[in-house]
Amino acid sequence: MSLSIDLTSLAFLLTSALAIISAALVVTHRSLVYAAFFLDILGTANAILFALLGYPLVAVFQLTVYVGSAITFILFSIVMLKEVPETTVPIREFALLTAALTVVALAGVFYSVNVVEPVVETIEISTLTDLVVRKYWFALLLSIVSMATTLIEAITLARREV
Amino acid sequence: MMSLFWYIAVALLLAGIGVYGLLTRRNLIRILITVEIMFNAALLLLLTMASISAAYKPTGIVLALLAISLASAEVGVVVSIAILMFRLKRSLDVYEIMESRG
Repeated sequence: MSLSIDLTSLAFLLTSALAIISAALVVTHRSLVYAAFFLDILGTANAILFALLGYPLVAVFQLTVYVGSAITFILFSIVMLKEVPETTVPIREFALLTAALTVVALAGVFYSVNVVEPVVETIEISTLTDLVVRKYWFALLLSIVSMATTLIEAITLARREV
Repeated sequence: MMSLFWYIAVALLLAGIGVYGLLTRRNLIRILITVEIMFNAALLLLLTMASISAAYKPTGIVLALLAISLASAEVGVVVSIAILMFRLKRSLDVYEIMESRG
């Protein structure tokens, strides 16, 4: 039992370090291709964190839909574009201060939950389906409409009909 | 089992890195990628907060699945716009795009 707890903690430490380092490299790396690649790694690390929290279904969905299609789409699209020299906005101190203030403000909001252990409980897919169809049917409908619109918009843009 | 505090800390750090990247970069694709870092942070935070109670877990899962689907759709649209902008302007600098609009 203690070995399993240690392994979970070790997996969390390694994955969170991987996620933070990948995120830092996404922002700082000069090449856009490598930035997209590190975003891919960040998405994978996030999926492992979801699995550690007790959400294997969301982890698989994140890997297949988000990492497997969306980020790979970004990666391949960047390969199609010529690499152009990037310019940065010369407000690094202001940006650092804003980022730090964001972290502090959010930490203040979520300070009260720092001692709670996560509830690891398996949810049946039938329960989720029931919840989506009965309670979140409007959100599901909006998502379907949004995705259909997105598909049409992307095809229109790709064919240069604008 | 790690406390939820550590998951929240990771999510907040990711959000901070995303805000920093968003403010310092001018390339449209780079801005999209940094926004995706913030999306990942928000998703981790959502699922962490849903882990507080067993009653919140199904709702958290449904919201996360919908959010991932919509984020993927948003990526498709923004990358298509970026490719179109690059074809027209030969640049992805948002400042140049803003200056030449109209």
